[in-house]
Amino acid sequence: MKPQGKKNVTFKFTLYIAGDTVNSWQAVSNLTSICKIHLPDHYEIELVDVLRNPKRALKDRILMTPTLIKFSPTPVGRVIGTLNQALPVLQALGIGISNP
Amino acid sequence: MRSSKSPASIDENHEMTTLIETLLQTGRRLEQLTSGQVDTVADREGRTLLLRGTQEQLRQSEVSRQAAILNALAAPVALLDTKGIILSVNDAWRRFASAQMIQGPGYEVGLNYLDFCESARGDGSSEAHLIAKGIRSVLGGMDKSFSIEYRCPSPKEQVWFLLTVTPLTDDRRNGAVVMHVNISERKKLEEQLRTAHKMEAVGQLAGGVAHDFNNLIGVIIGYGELIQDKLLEADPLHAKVEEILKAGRRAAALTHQLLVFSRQQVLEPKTLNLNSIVMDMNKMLPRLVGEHIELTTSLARDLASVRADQGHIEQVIMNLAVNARDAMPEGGKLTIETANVEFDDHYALGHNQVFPGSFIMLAVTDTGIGMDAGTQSRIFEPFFTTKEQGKGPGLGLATVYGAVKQSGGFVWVYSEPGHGTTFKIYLPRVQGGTEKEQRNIGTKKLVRGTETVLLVEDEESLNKLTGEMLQESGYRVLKASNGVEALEISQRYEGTIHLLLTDVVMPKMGGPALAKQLAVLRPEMKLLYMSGYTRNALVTQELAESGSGLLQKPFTRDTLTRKAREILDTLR
Repeated sequence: MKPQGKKNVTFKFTLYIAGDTVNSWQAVSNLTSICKIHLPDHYEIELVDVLRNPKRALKDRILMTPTLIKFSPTPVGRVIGTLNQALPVLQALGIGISNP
Repeated sequence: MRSSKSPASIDENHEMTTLIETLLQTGRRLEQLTSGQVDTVADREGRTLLLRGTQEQLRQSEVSRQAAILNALAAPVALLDTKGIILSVNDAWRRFASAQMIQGPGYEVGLNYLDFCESARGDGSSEAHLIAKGIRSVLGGMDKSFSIEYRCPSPKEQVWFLLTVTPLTDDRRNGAVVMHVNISERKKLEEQLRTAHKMEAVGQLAGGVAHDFNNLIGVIIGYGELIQDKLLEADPLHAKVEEILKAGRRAAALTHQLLVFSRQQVLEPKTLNLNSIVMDMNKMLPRLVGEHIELTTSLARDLASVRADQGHIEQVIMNLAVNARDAMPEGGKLTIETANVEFDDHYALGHNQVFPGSFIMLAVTDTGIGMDAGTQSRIFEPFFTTKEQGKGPGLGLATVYGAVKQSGGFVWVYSEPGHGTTFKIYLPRVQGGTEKEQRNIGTKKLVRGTETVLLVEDEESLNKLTGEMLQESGYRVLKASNGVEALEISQRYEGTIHLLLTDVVMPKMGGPALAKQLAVLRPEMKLLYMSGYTRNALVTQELAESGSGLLQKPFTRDTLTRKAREILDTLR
């Protein structure tokens, strides 16, 4: 499956996690595999540990971890949890997909 | 909220209970809503609240990360608290304790390591006490760190450790980190390097002494021969002079061995096959070692060639065989083996003096009394001997060492008291076929001549003696004590000079520089160098390989005149 829309668009994600907790690392692992399968070469992931960087969490209005925010392309999308199911995550972030 | 000094009122207690209940319900509902997929929640000021179980997960992950780092270390590590009690250890520490067969208190978590060290008795206890003192000084803040190299009193083999103690400081507790690093390999290499340096120094010393002796012995033998020639055999002095000559020749053989050891002997390297040399010597060795020793050979079929001096290799085999014989007074087995071997970079790195490449191995093994480590560390020193007085001067293995080193090889010894000894000699492998050794077995008849010889030698007595030897044999001799003087003589002398006989290293102008200048002025003149030792062995090596004649000091009149004749008779 490939993302619909412009070919050269890059998806910029920020994933907010809390240290080495199980849910956080599951979210990191799930997001990475979703991106590799559905958005190959069209994504950037930034990881923010709220325990180390609480100011950043406050600025981005993060109320729970793990939280994933898609900052671009707009509109901004937000998902909470371990991201263990690809389709609902993609839908929630407004990413349309098509079969290859 | 009130301060901790004033207890909460009943109303406040009631309010707190309600709040906690709400909090717990909120948490449970949040978990339901997020299917347990959330770790933290934050308030609007950015304060993060860890949800149930998250704190424990974080602690566990920190613990397992630290354990993974500690367990990745090959060195045994333990963390001690301020009293010396072991808080935790890594896997290497557990293996270390079981490998060293150290059991009981002191090595396990929860027990006191300081007590263990301080209560040590017997072998290694003084080091253990020092270690305890060092740990105390770090724990007490007197020292920032402590380290000591110590030998582990292990019954199996000598194991060296470097112990380091560094302070452990964190928010909640202080203590120390104790680490034992195995440095046996480094110690072994250091020892090998020390031995190599020592041998180098002894070699230079021996070579220097041998050089001076060589010239002196040359004079003794030379004049002895001249006197003997003047005496009738019936003369009672004839036999006495013969004794002087015998002693002189023995002394010459000894200095020759010293020069071989110090690698200052000029070689005549040829491409050789060690199998043929061993097989040739097989005829002679049984007589040398005696009937009580069984001699076997195991020779590699496809053995490659080496480039070495045949005389040296024969001497090496003979010296090793003689040593093997002396190690087996009650009889035994002597085995000589050859093989092709390869050393890779990895092996070479772990062995001082070994470099990677293809080698030929020559191994001589006996089933004799063997040697302890102390003896092994000294066997290659000249004049070191375990034999009783009068059974050899202790130059046998020194000669082996020097001969092998000069041929670009190295020698290893493996031995244990009561379990025999193996010497392994490795020589670099070369391409190409072997050259047959030609031996001149000349007659004793003196060779004479009438030509003019320009003799250049800075050692006065040797100059005089060589001149007399040549004159006695019919030659006309022009003498000079250095190159500059020789050039002057050559300019003044109007007749033909047939032969330039010159020393190699001399003050003012050396032999090669002189020869180069005279070759232009007198192109018909032949050239013969004299040398025993040179401070620049490379020079003589080049001369030997360039094809110019080379006469080794000390020489007899017979060798001198024969060599001079040989050079004079060769066609340009």
